[in-house]
This record gives sequence, C-alpha cells and structure tokens, in this order.
Amino acid sequence: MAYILEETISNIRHGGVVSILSVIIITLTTVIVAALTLLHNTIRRDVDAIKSSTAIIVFLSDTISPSEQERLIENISGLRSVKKVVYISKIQALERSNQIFGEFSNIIQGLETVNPLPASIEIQVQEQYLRLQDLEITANQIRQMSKQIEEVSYETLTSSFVNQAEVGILGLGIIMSFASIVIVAFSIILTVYFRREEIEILRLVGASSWYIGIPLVIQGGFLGGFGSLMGVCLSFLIFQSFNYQLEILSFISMRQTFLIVFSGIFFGLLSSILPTLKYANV
Amino acid sequence: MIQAYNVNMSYKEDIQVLNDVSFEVQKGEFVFLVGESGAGKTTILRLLYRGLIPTSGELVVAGRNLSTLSKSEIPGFRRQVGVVFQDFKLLPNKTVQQNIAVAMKVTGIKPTEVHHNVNQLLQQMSLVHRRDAYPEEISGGEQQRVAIARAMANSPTILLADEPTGNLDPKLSLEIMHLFENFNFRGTTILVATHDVALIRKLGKRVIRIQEGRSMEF
Repeated sequence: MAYILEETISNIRHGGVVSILSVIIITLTTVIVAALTLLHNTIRRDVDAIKSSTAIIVFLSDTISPSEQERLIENISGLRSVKKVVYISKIQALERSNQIFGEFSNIIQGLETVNPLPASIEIQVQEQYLRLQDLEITANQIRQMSKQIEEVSYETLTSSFVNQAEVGILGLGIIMSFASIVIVAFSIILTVYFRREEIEILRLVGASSWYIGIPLVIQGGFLGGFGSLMGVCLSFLIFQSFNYQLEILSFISMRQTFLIVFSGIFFGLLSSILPTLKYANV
Repeated sequence: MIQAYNVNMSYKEDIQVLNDVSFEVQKGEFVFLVGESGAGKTTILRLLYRGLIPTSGELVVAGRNLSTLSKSEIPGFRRQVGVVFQDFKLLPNKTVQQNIAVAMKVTGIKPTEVHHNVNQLLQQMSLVHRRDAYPEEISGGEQQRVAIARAMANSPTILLADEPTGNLDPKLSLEIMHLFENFNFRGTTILVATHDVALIRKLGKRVIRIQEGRSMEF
C-alpha cells in the first residue's frame, strides 16, 4: 500500500505539466458538469411546477345551463388524460382578477354589475399527456363535447421542450466526460512514456504486472477524483459569488456532489486501464 | 545452470543475429562470453533473461525452459537471474539505497528485511557513505557497484553482465571483476559478456566466443 501511494505520487510529480493540465481540464469539465446539473435541477423544478399546474382552460358561454355544465364537467373528468378538474364561476373569475390587479384593481371597478369574464373549467392533465400533441388531442376532444364552449386554451410550454433540453444537457455532459477520459488517458500514456526506462528496469528485477500497473491506474483515479473535487469546489465558489444577486437557486445536492466526484474517480480509473495495458505492456 | 540448444535468432526475416548457437554453463561456473561488437553477445544475454524469445531452439536457465515460460511466470524467473548493464540502468530519481531496495520491494518482502539486506549489500560493496547520494552524484565505478548490488539483491542463482566494465578504466574494471569473483565464490553462476581481452587473460576463466552469430568454446 505504501509502495502504491509512493509510486502514484512519484508518477504525478514526474508527470509535471501533463498532470497539472489533466487536473485543470478535469476541473473545468466538472465546473461545466456542475453547471449542467444546476440547469437540469432548475428545469426539473419548472417541469414539476408545470405538472402540478393547469394545462388546459375551457371557457364557457354565459348561456350554458347548470345541467349542461355539470354534464360537461363529468365528461371532461372521464377523459383518460385528465387528472383534475376545477370549475371557476364568473364571480370567482372576477375575484381572481381583483387579486391579480391588486392596488390597480380600480381599473376593473364597476365590472361587478356587468361581469364580462366567462366561467371556465381548469384542467390538470396526467404527466404522460403533457406533450404538445397530446394536449392538442385532449383539447379537441373537449371542444366536441358541447356547443356552449367558447374557447379551449392550453399551455404551450410542454415537457417535450423540457425533454429535449434534458437530452441536450445529457449529451453535453457525455461529451465533456469523454473529453476528460481522453485527457486522463493521454496523461497516463505520457507518464508511461516518461517512465519507460524505469518500467523496463522494474521488469528486469522481476516486478509483476500488478506492481507496475496498479500505481498507474491509481494515478488515473487520483487525477480524476482530485480534478472533479476541485471542480465542485470551484463551482461552489462561482455559484456563491453570483447567486447572491439571483437568490433563486440552491447549489447541487450533496448526493449529486458525491456522484460527480465518484464519477471523476471512476472515469479516471477507467481511462488509465487501457493505456496501462497497452503502453506499459502489463 | 544455463543450456542453449541450436538457438537461432533473427530480428527481421533477413537479419540473422544468432545461427545455431549451443553452449552450456555449469552451476557455480564463471564464464566469459566474448566476441566482436555486433556478434550477438547482448542478444544472447537478452534471450537468457527472457527479454527476447528465440526464433528457434531451446534455452534452459535455472532449470526453466524459457520457451514454455508464461508471461505471468517471467517476474518469478527474473528474480532468480540478476542482470548488470554497461550503462548501469539506475533510476536517476532514486538514491543509492533506494535503487538497491527496489529489486527487493518488487518481491514483496517486509520493509524491515529490505532495510537490513540493503545495509548488508551497501557494506559489501563499500557504498555505505554513498547511501543517500543520487546516481548522478557518484562515480562510474560506484554506479556500477550499485547496479551489481541491485542485481544481487535477491540472491539470484545466476548473474548476467553485459559489458559491465565498458565504461570503466582498467583498475575499476578489475575491481568489478573481483566483486563478481566474490559472488561466484559464494555459489552464484556468472556469465559476463565482454570484449576486454586483457581482463579475460588476467582472470583466466572459461570463454565462449561468438563469431558471426555462431558459438565456439575455448
């Protein structure tokens, strides 16, 4: 164990500029991964907000009878895509307007007598039907239910956009991680190159493949772990510096932090195995 | 201890280095391997420590048939064979004692034992005062003594030396040969590749000559 540590530190020291460059690139990659994670968290939070908010609003004609209104609510509730239905009367609609306008509510003063706001049915849809085309289908189904429906409007910021954004983030994360793997592998290849005579001497005196190879693999894990830890720390400092202005975000969770650092170690180990096998000939 | 039977070696199809070489070295012998530069001496030594695999023929070293030696068996085999080179091949970033210790550490022996054995070798090789020096800080003769100490660190049964005195003056060369004689006296089989005829005459040991890739014994 002492030997492995001794050799790993010696390898990193002899790696010099390449070791430093590897750590810098992994650090920067981690900063980007942490930023992407933060973006992902924000988008996820927005998605959850969309999921729990009204997706479709059905505006009703003033001439709709109570029985037809009841039948319509019943029919809408029976749709597979519908999660929750809330009826908003004309009076409730006006009250809401008053709340929304707050201190400027005098703009709509006098409307109590001739309330122009229509009664409506607010609909929350099931999570799997939040995509734009599914919302369109549900809206058309509702439109055909009654001639007393004046308008059906639905949320256009759908989860399909969110899904695409998430795929983009994942893709960028994978590309950055791949770049880190390549640079760690490159660092190990250079270490083997710089130490080729030493490796040759170790072989001559009877060192086993494990004895030669393990410190190189550990070196990859160390570079990956140290770089990603630095990256998380740097991300936190950047976040702290900017977030006092925004005050809307919380930093990536402890679980995500551990995941990023352990991924750094894992990818560091992984990326050093192949060059160790190939170039150190172990 | 060393047997070579009809060994052929070519690096490329058209470059034949060794041509049907056969010889034997008995246990406890001290033998010189001589020949012109490029005659194939270094190739023979590399074959003997399994740094190369012959194109054809058979090599038996320390009771092991090298053609059947698997990759995982090579480290164990090499601990039985010490090797010394003309250019010493010391680790420049390690001190004298660390250079010697490295050969023991790879075998996995306890650090206290390593420390004890290194001290013994330093005394034997008159290097105690140089124990913390780096290779570049010591003379050529001292560097070669460190290389010999490293080669002898695991008490090998065979010591192979490739032009060990090539970079040393005659006085130091003789000193190194006396060290080899000392190890040989204690039972180690020694095979030294050299073209230093004066040295060979002074020591009067058996000689295997390699000429144009063929072996002749004297």
